[in-house]
Amino acid sequence: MRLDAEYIGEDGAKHRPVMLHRAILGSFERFIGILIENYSGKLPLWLAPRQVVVASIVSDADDYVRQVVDALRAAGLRAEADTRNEKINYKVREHSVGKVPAILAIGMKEVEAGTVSLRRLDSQGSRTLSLEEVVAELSAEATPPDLR
Amino acid sequence: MSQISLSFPDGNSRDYPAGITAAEVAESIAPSLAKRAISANLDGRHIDLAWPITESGAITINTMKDEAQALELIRHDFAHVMARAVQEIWPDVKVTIGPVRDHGWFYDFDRKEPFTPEDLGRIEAKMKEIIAARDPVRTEVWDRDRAIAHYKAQNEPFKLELIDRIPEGEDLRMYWHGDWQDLCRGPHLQNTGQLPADAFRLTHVAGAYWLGDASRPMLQRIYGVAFRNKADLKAHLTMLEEAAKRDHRKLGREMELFHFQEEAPGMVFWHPNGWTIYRELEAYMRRRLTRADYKEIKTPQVVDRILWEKSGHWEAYRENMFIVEVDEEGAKEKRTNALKPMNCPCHVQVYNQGLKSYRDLPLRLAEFGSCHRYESSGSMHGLMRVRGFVQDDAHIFCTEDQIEAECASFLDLLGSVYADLGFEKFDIKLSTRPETRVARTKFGTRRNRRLKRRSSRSATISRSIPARAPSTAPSWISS
Ligand SMILES: [Zn+2]
Ligand SMILES: [Zn+2]
Repeated sequence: MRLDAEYIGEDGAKHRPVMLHRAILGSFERFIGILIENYSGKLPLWLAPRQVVVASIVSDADDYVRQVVDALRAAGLRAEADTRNEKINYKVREHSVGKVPAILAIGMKEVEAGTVSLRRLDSQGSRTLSLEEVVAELSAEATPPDLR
Repeated sequence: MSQISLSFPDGNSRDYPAGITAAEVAESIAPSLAKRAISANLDGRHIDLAWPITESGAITINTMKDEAQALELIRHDFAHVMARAVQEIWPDVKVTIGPVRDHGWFYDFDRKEPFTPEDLGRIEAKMKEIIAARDPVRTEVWDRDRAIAHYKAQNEPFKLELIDRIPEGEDLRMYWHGDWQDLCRGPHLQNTGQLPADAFRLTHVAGAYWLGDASRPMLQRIYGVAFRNKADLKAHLTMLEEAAKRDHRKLGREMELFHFQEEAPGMVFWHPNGWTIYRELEAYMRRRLTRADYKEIKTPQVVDRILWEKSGHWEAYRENMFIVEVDEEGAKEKRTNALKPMNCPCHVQVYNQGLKSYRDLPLRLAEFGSCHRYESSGSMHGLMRVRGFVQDDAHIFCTEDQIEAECASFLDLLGSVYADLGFEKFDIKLSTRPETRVARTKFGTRRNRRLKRRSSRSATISRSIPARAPSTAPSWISS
């Protein structure tokens, strides 16, 4: 760089410092493009833009869906409610295309038991967990790697 | 007749009469080799089997087992066979050029009506007929006048222009695939039957200007891919399908991450989902830099040309910079600014505020710096190649003695960040001094040697490449 930079050395004289140029990602734009392709869109939970979608199976579950979303957000997770009047399979399929890593399906069974039914992207079937369990499990996984 | 001496890969050599062909040389070694031979390399130059050899040299006979040569011939012969097929179906179409590229070839045609997917199917079928006919391939050297007369009679204006561009005194070679003739440097196979009829595919058509010049006619470029066998073709097509599924532009739409539009080419419109990824990644990088004792700064994006003149960018990089002119109050002339294409000069300004002593070094100044660089519209590609971008840039000001330790800790940080982001294995390329560059180095070679030592200790170096400056990862060192 043809711009003068100096420092006073131990000898009291002026010296020119070395300037190391460095970047790790290069550009955020390009690196995000690479991340998306490397993971085929299935980003690890900490980088996924929409981490959890809480989807109602029946509209009577809507209030509980909002409670679950609140609990997840309070734990720092990026959670959204899907209380549209659509079939649960339709919702699951749509959020899978959007590469949402975790979907919580809520029907009356879950409302009554105070549980959630957790489906992970690309895995068959679901697991029933208590609200506390699912918050603990997902927030542990959503912790960025440098903070684990 | 004079004698020439040809040496072989096994170290032996033999004398032959000058003018012998590579085919005859192969025959003299073993008839079985002659049967399998497809071309030869003479002192590294790829030549036809039928080409007369007039001077001594090192010769290698190629067979279909020699992948690079085999693929070059197959793809090049396919280009000719495709052009022949097109002219057999539509005799009025004008031919131009058809080079080998990537996994296949393309050929540019001048035709009013666009080629449709059905047309590509027709061309493929015709190509298979030509392959089945096993038409011989032959070549002749023509003088310029004869070639010009031929293409005038054929009414092929693009070929005439090509002849015009070949330097005076250079041989003009003609090739025939059956009766179909093309001006070409070669080399080629011996007959069309050597082409694998089940290992090629015409993939798509795109517009292309004649000679890449936007003021010249727009031609239609047909792309094809070809391999030595059906299995290789299938593997390639599967790989393309997989890559298309992973394409970040497609996923960007499906996941609602970002979009681009004509009013701001190469500049990202981040949507809520995409911007969340961006902010998460930025927060992560910020934590990593803070932990590694970097100081974050922010410098202006619009900077007077005076600074760019001092830094040398105005002279070396002007055509890639976005210029902003401003009517300053009371000033007679407009003030000319540029959007910064890189952050270095601004970081030097921050360093230069106040006197620095050796106790302040190393000083690591980091910036998530918004930069703009003009890229041609053809070179842009989703997020991968843009005009407006943010670098995770930093400059380490240090003494000569601190270089090695700084490089080592940087490489550690780099490896740790990549591992966190899912890249466990990566190659480090060491760029040595580029030929044109803005920065001036003292002791460049000594430092490069140190860097090399450092990086070979910390990671694998895939190869040492001469850099093209300025790149997004600028050369490491300047003073
Ligand atoms: Zn050719
Ligand atoms: Zn720099």
